[in-house]
Amino acid sequence: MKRLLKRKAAFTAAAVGVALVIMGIISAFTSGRASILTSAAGFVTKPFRLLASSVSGGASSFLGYIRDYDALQAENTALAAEIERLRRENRELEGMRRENEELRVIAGLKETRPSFVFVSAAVTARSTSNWARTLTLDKGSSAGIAAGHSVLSAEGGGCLVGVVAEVSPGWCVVRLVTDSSFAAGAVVYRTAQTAVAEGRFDLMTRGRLGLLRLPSGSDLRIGDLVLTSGAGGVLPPGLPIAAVASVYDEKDGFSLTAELVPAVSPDRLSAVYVVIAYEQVGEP
Amino acid sequence: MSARAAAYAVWALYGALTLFVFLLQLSLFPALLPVRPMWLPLLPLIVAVLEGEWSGLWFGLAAGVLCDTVFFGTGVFYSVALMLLSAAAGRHAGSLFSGKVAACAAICPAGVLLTGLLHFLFCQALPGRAGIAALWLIAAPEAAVTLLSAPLLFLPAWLISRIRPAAKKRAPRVPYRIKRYLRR
Repeated sequence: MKRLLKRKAAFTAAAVGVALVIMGIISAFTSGRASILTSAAGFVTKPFRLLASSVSGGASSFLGYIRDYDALQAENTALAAEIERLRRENRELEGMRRENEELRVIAGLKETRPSFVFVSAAVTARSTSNWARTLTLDKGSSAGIAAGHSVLSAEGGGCLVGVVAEVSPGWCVVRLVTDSSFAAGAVVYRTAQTAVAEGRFDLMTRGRLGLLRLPSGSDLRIGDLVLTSGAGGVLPPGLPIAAVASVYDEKDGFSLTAELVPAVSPDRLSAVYVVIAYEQVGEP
Repeated sequence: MSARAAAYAVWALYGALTLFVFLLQLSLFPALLPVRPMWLPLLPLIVAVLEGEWSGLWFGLAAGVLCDTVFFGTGVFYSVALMLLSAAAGRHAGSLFSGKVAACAAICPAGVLLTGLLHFLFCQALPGRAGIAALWLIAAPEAAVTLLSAPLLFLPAWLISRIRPAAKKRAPRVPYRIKRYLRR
């Protein structure tokens, strides 16, 4: 049995040897083409070669990275500085765009109200308490704002938003026209009827104010525009305050009260204009 | 965690909670809610009940100063009122009630109602800004909304107070003479 196996092994070895010789002869005569053996070996080792190639590629790029580290770092620093410069320029341009828009609005207001001196301010906070309707602005006495100054919106050619109630150097609080403490002399635009526009708690909760102490039988229609009368010289005359929303008789039977809807909704305001000076009509 | 580290952590978290409530009171509540809950004045009352009278007093003062900067036309009302009310709440919470939750459930509504009433009296009625009608037009809805939403504020404060390990019971103090006698 052993002899048989030895014979078989010797026979197999001889066959393999002959095959290799034949393949060698064939490959010697077919130049330019890989031998079958080489092809088979190449097919088997292809994944390993790919792996090795990627590893060596990674290693060489890593070595290159280490070699060029200083140059890359310098380039990175330069790019970061460039990005920062571009960002700064972008911020400056954005600021200039905003300023331009503000100036355009002020120019528009100036056209309609040439005697007014305005200061633009951004709204930083809204009514935080249930007892008052206020806006907090980002400018104060250092910008020339004082208590009692009227605050206008850009919409509608400068509608009255409220009156400055509290001032500090860097901020001020504006009492809105819907606040329960607001009161101003008013005139109905259509009929020139004078009255007092006043805030009340029950109206304040609904975002409205009242036109009080109107004589019974006054001609008031829903939608009538109510302006400041300028009586008392605190507020400039002719600023739109609100429009009439409803009219009803008072309990005493001698007077009328009208509910007014403000000309501008304070919830949507992001910037306002404070009138820090104006010329009285008829003054020398 | 040592007792001192726990105390630092607790007060840092109370500070963070106050900042969060301050931001809510300043931005989210006015934007979303027609009647704003008064969480900023409520917070020191809760903290006073959970932490005691002295903590309540100082926390009440700090929260009161914040309230006076946030709310328009209050002068120094909240600084004084919250300091005193929080100290009183902290003092009586431990003696009247055994549990913190029960103490909060009883004392905070009373504190909210009293704060609202005093605010109406000193900041609205006496300066002539509001009549008695403002009590049910403004003060009553405000108190109702504050009390209904109070559990939302109590829960984080209570969880913060639980960080601190329970104080170890001290052995009763023995007078020196008795000590000397016992040593003999």
